[in-house]
Amino acid sequence: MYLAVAPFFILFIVFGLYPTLYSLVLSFQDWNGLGDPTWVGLQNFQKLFADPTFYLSIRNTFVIFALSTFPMLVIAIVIAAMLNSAVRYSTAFRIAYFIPNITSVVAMAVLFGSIFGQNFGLANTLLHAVGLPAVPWLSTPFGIQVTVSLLITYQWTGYNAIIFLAGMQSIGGEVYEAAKIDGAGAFRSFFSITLPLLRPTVIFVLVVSTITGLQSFTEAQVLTTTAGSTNSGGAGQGGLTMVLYFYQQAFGFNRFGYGAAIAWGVFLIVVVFTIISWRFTAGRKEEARS
Amino acid sequence: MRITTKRRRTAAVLATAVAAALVLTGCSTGSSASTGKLTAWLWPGAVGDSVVSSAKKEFASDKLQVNVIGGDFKQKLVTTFTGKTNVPSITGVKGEDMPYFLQQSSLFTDLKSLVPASYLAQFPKWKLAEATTADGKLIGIPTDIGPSALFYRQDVLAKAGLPSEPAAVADATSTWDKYFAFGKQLKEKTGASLEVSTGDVFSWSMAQADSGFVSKSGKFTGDSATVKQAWDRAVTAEKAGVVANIEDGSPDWASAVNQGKLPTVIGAAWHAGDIKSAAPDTSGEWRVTATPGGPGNAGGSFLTIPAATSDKKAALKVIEAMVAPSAQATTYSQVGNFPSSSKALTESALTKGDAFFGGQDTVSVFQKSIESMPTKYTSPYDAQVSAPYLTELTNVQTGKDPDKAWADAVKAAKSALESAK
Repeated sequence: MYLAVAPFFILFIVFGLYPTLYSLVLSFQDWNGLGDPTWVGLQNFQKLFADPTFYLSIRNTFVIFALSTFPMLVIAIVIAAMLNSAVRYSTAFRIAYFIPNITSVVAMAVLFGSIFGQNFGLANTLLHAVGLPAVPWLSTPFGIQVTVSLLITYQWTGYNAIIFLAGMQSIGGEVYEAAKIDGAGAFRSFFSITLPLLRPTVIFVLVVSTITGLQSFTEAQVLTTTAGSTNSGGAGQGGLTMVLYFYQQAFGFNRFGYGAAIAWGVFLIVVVFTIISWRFTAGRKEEARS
Repeated sequence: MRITTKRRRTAAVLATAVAAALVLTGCSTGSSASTGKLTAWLWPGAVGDSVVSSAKKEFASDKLQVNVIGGDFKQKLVTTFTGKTNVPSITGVKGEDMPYFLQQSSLFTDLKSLVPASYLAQFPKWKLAEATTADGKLIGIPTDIGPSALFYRQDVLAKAGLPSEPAAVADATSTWDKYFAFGKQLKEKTGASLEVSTGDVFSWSMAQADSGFVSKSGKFTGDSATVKQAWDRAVTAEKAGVVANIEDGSPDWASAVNQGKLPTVIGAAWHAGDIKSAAPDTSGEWRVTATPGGPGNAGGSFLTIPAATSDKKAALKVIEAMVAPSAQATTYSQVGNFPSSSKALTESALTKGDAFFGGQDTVSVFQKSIESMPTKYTSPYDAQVSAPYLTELTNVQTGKDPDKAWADAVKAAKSALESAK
């Protein structure tokens, strides 16, 4: 019945579709949030193409994305493989790995800010204790990117591990038995059976990670915002991701029209890269079959 | 099992009702206050806690509701103004946001029509000018002003063998160069740093200056001699190794302050509140003295009455109660915000000395600061034009060539102003 699904669609239209279309219109206007918007046509997009800070934010986002997503996928698959073979306390392990995903991002970011503080953070204290030099976690651009990536990895590894686990459990036991009869060990069966059959799950996780990773905002904002400089991305603007740049322009500097243009620029980039990552994994699957 | 037609219909009606209810909670009737109810929006530290509670008691008949709102106060206010619902009857406006709100003065009531000129005479003219439009409309009453001083830990300085009495410290740090030399000695003897960051040195040099980044006519002045001097000073501080390179307000900063690694800091009067809340155990060890290089002016907020308020006279009474001389004196002793009213300076709470500062009479230090501090125009684009300088200073900290960083900062600031206007 169409009326039964109507509630979702009404909510979607009011809180999802209408604001999206409004922001599209807003990206062609100049608005400071309080007065009347003035129509400026493509000027916001022209400014955007010539904006070096926007390109910096794209670069930062991709660095953070690369640093967080690829190690996370590897770790998640390994964890899923271990969870799959665990006999005892498997539920307890699964809960333990999933908990970081459901804790508040802001709370974890504040905690990470404390741990990775330059002079008094726990991380540097531990490094000192082992005799290693202190790492400038949050005071250099690359350090900020590493710390933000660590936080993202911490949050999402457990979630993706559970998804991979679900994918692994859908692989029938007969395949493994056949491999064992042929003499395959644990590693061989992992690389030759589990991974290829897990391809659909990998595609899903990669696409979702691309979409969410390229829009990472909370971690970057909380880790780099201080009393003196809000939404600036920290030292050297290293933590200025695309969405944080949008937030800074729209809500920090009251340039809502330009912010909307940035948001649509982000949309285009995310669409392009989602298609690339989907083609990359799905395309190879087509080749493997033929 | 088939769902019967009757059940279908009931389900459909229920579903639509739920959806409609959820949608309608988003809409609401246009105007702001319901009759007889006043709402005031403040941020934590805008006025002292006792001022808030005594205002609630005094105006209980008006059902005064004071909301202390943390987080991004300006953004919440802008959202409410744009949504035109539940606009508060009275709202605070931070000093740095006032140039922005001044552009939309139609959203506020002209306070000159509500108060006599004799009432306004107790506030500094330059502070009132910050909240006055080009055609003379006054939209805010100042709650506090921001004269600067040098806050320092007298026990840390004394242990390092450096002068620790206010007059002696003022002598030893009267110019920026002397201040940096002082900082080098401090670093050698205790390993402590002089200032929080190069950004702080830059910002305070600008706060001491007569001109800013954008002139009143909207012209870019970010490459002026004033700005270059502030920049050079910040780079000198970095080269001398006297800055801590910590983010102000972060947990790192709080640890440093508590452990005595940041025993000196230039701050406005309201910074006392930050120190008091971050390092309460160090009470009694702090002192204030004159700012190196001359007094600076930073901050100081306002109370305003949005135009949508129905009972403006009652709202005005609440504001008058919150900025009354006795209230301002209480605010000073609780949060450190320096009174905007000249009448408040004779209150006993102000003249008796602050225990956090070892009983020192801190008011006289700030008053001396006020006598010669600059009072310049701030543009609504100040935030985005000054941001590149601070970014490039952190780049200098991580090894970028200072001259190239300066050139990049000026270029970025210029384009920020052009694309913002």
